[in-house]
Amino acid sequence: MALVLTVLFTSIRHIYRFGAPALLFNLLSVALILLLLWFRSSRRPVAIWAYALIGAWIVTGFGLVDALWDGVLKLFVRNYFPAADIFQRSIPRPFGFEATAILTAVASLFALVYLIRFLRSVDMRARPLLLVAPLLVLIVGTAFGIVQRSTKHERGVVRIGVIVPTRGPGSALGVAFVRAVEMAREDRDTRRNYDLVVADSGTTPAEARAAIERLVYEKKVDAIVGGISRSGQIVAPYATVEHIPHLCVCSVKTIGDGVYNFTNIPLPEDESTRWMEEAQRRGIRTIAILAQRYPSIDGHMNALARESARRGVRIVHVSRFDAGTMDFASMIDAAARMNPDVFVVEAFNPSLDALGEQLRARGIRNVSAIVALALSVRKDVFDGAWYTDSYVDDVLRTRFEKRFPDTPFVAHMIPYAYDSFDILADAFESGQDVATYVRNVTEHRGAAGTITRPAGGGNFRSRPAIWVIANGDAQME
Amino acid sequence: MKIVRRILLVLIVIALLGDAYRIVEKRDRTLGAAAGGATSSMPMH
Repeated sequence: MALVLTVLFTSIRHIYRFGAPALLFNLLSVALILLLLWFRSSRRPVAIWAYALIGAWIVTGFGLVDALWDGVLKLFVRNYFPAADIFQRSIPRPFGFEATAILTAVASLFALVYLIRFLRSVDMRARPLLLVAPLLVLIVGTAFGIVQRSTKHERGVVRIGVIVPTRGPGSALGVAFVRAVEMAREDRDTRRNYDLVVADSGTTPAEARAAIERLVYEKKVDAIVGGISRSGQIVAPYATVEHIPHLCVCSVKTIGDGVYNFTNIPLPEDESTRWMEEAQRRGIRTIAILAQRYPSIDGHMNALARESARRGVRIVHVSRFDAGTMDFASMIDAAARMNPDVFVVEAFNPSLDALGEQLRARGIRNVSAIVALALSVRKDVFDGAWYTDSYVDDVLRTRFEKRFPDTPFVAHMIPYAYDSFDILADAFESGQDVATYVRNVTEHRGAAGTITRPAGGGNFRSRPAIWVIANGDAQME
Repeated sequence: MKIVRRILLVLIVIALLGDAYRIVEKRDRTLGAAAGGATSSMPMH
């Protein structure tokens, strides 16, 4: 009965993997019953041998290994002891799958006990092997199954997942990010080998999910570094569920939970504070804003509004526009009528450079931004403008440009990508639990200067620098 | 005694099923946040 129940629960469990055909597995129960009936009527040894070996195989393969080890123990141990690195990760499985694992495991333990009792009741003195052989199947099979389904680490190899867009409009940022991480790896003298597994976060939520699931469940990475807030928002829950440290060069503050997810880039308030300090130093009292509607830009604009209110700087005009807008004449007219001390622009291309050209055509030179001008491919149209962007270590920049002459140096990405890898490498080299180590990092001196994090916080923060565009080139002041 | 053992076993199985449901539900709720996330063709930090 217990063996039949083991087969039944296993077949139900496997519906989640193979669909309705999994129910055909119950034919095994019919075969087992027929074998018993055959043995009862004929006392033929072959019948009881077949019954014993098939029973041992079912209890071992489907009960002890698949249901108990890879189902019940995996679910509960990974939940209650997340640092215990014993079980292989598996793609999230529905409750029905986990529930049938519990039922299968319990049934198989009963089946094991009853199988041994039954075999012992059959003329043991004449056939001692009848008990020994199934027990061997059980012990060897269980040991083999557990080894197969346990975490496998290549000796001394750490796998770091790198998730950024490597094609489409964001590919320039993504490629620069990957190069920065590669360089950080090359620069370190480490005890362990670090494999970088790059996944393209794509341009849609579905692509980002597919990419992170590939990294987590297929490539089984030990830690993740990522580069874009919107894919970071998708990666973060996976990092939480699978207990994987995730450092994201993301400006969306809430991605950093301080447990497994950490952001590593100045927050909008860091940018706006630095921007306002410089604005006041330049004697700016009124500002006009021309900015695209986009979450990260909204974050900058909201922080700027708060900071300007605090410091008594007036925002005299705000125009927001959608992605792809190319005609800014009426917005520029309206803003210019207010005679602001500076025009704050923030957008992505192609709108950004179109806006720059139209401002320049109107003779407007007093232009500024938070980060956005770093993304311009026509910096000449912004000559004379200033903006906040990351502090960049000159030595790193020189080395990067020499090492990767074909990859533009993206100041707002590369130092943080470099430092994020460094923090993770520090954690792995320490030999401590990696997530715990990262949680305890409150200061790191690296490519982006000194980055700090309040204890328990999820955001590594740093002070941006002021950049000025002259002769079509941006230089840090 | 046998009946007590059986009742105890049933209670343990029910407790395991209940806890498994809680764990899976919590996990799905967390991953639901991923389903709600959105990327766009324009990257930004």
